[in-house]
Amino acid sequence: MSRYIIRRIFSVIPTLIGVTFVIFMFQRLIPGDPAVAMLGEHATEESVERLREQFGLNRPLFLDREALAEGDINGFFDSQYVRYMKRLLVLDMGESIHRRIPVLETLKIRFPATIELAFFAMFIAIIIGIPIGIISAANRNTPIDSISMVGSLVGVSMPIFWLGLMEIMLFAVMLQWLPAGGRISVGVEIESITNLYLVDSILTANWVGFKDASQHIILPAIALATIPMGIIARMTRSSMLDVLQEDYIRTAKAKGLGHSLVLFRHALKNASLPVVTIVGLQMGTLLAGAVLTETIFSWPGIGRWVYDGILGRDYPIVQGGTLVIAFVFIGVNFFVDIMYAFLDPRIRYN
Amino acid sequence: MKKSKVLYLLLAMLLLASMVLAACSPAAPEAEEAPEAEEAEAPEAEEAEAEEAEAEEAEEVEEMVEGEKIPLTLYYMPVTRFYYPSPKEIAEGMAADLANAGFDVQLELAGDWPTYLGLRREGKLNGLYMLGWGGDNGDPDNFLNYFFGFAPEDKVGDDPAAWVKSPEAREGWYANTDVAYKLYQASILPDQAEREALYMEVEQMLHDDVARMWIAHNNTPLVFSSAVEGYIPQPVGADYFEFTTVEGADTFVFGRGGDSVQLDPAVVTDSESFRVTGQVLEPLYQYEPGTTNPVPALAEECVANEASTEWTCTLRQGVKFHDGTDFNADSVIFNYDRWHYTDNPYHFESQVFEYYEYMWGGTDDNSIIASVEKVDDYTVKFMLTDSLAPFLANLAMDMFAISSPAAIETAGEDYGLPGTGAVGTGPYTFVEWIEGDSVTLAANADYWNGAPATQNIVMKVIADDSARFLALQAGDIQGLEQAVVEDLQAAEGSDEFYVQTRPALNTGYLAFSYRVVEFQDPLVREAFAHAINREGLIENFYGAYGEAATNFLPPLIWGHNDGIEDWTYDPELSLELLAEAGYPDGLSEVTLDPSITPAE
Repeated sequence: MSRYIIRRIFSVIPTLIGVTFVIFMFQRLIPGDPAVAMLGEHATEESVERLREQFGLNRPLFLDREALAEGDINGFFDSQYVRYMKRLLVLDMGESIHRRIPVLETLKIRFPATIELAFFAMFIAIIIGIPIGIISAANRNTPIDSISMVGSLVGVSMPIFWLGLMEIMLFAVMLQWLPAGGRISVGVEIESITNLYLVDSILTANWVGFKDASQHIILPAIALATIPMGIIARMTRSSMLDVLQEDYIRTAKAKGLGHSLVLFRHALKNASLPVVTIVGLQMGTLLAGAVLTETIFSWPGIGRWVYDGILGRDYPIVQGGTLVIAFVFIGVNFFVDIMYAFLDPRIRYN
Repeated sequence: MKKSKVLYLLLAMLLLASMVLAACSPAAPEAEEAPEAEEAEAPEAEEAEAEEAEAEEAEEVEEMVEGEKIPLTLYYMPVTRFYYPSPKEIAEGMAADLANAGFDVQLELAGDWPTYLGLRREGKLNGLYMLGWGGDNGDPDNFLNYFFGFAPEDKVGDDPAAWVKSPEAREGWYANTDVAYKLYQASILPDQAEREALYMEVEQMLHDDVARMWIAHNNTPLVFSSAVEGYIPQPVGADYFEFTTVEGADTFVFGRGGDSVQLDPAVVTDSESFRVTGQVLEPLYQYEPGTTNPVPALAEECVANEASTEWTCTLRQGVKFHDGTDFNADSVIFNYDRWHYTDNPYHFESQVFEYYEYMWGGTDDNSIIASVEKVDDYTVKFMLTDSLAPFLANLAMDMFAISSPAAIETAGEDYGLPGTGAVGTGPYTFVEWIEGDSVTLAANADYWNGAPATQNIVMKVIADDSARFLALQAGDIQGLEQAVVEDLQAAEGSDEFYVQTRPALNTGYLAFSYRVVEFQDPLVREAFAHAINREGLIENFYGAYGEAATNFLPPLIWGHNDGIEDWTYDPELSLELLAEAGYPDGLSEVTLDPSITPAE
């Protein structure tokens, strides 16, 4: 097991290098110059050139053939990509071209916002999705089953944009129960430790802050949770149905064990393997796909930030943001693989 | 295990794919640099390489061979701007109008905004293209001279009367030496009435020649809760927040679509940055609330010598920056010198002082400001290399607001970033900037013009137009800019909200690329002018806030020629004009002029 873990950890490195390379190249393949994007319409040639120089955008992308021809080996490697990688090794992700704020600094604030929202949404999706799936499976082909499956289908195909606006209209405008957007109210302070507001407010026993932050997170989390909730419910149901067909379940039932005992003790654990996989995959989607939710609820997370970065050709932001998302994605997958071994003792990693 | 194998396989595929992509990538900088080195040996290779790079660069816009026929194309804007609220739909409307008048136009979206601007810069929008202009300082010069005046390279020799306006290769722009000369005169004359007469003449000439087709001016709607009073939207410069009151509250939360870029106004160009810095910092002059007239702010007055080449400004005394330091002649000189001289220790290499270069003709020796001299502690003298009629209008721009020298000395390059904010003399002091979320300001109790009414201002980013309006309805914010048409109608019909407009200082237009031979014929251009139903476009896409444009200058600016009679909407006449110009079957293909080449 430990050998496997170590090997997996090492395999992460080439994957991340691949990710940096692909992201780096793809961005630069889109037409549009960051310097022009930043300076706008009256930019003079000189200012554009100066800015390009400043951010090293006038260097070759990958390797400098010209320098090699002149026998300048250092020059050969002095490319945009190599410079970027060198800095990345010391955890320097550069600074935003437009704002000049170091990418790492913004990440420290924005990434926890996205993580917090994603985990909260996943929590909602799991605590609602899994029971629905179980209930559906246990009551197969009954009206309960049909209703929950239609419901989850609606969830899967729900346009988040529309749902978000409807939520705001109902809960913020009409009922006035919850705020319409943002992460915290004007004037409420939470001392930052992890920048996860819910965690920080508990750690500092700031109950006013906790209440405010919770109120803010509910609506966006529900909007974000709908799709994974539907998927999890459907996956749980089909996986449970498979397991319920197995011989050992029949045996358990034949032994006279109670219905719910069979369902939860015997079936659920074995049925959870595909569900865990789906949860892991969805976690990645939640992190990367929160752009719409973040836009509608003005949630200052990473999705919107990277999106704006792409539009403004702010390369360091896009590089930094995607790299972190990729890292978490890989991390979650890794975690899911380890979970398999605990859920199914037959799985051995050797 | 299987899973890790799959992972490696994926990784290998990714790497392979990216290698392939990299190999056929344009590698723009390389292509630009390489030819010089290879010039001596292989001129042919150089050409081929340059051509290749160009072709790939403009993926959407096919590389056109000069002399050959290309389809008549209307490039539409990929983003919403004040002057084009829904660009795609407006373009479709124009194309439909044009089709009725014998013009068979293809609509094309050339990439996103940076791509579009880049293609236009390089003169690659070969056809008709949608663009617009928003005024920077409320002076007609800033509209007309920028587009139709002499370019620096046209100014050959000392006699302006002998200068010739060349068709700007880079943009394929309209070139008219008479127009350019009049604009030159208007830019140096101190007398406003004389200038006004010249601008009106120029507008008439541009109209008669159909230099471009002016489409619309659009006023920007802002919506407020009925508890809010006194917000002043500015046609030019930052809005005035200082007179705003909110009934029963000491905080005014304003919703906006995007975040500020930086809070050092000298190095940014976006209005969301100026919206904040305009409350915290002040220039020597400012625009009179609600108008485009420059009036004294940190200066008590600025007086020109007879030739308008020296301006002496008397400064307001007893004003302090928010950090407690004094405002005086030294602080003015510190700021202007910082922007002016590239070797100034605070003119950081990483910063581009875009607007200083643009409004004052460049940095160092290129600047029209030769120097700013200290006469005494509260008097400075601007020495100009030439007379500059819009001097006061320039002085009042948000970018030339005076920051505390002490703050810049302390923060260095980080001045204007979220950690430091801006330190000036304005009615509000900077408190906090949570990037991507909100900026908080607090009233400056010692403000020289009296402390503002509302204690705190919060400018909150809500990117989505509908969500922003819902936030207003929910009471999270008390005012906002930009809303969708349905919400604006709802607000106008409700007691809880009201709509206020910012008078238009913008013009949306349809430009001809003068690289197209057919567009060089005034008859063809006139046929276009009669083909587009402006009123119809406004009714359908601008709602109550737009107005048809007959001039390039919006009606708000002096110099706007009310006497110009708009081109009638008359597709029949267009067909006749086209036939007269030699296109009885209409126009669906055009030819590129080989003598005007786009910039490399």
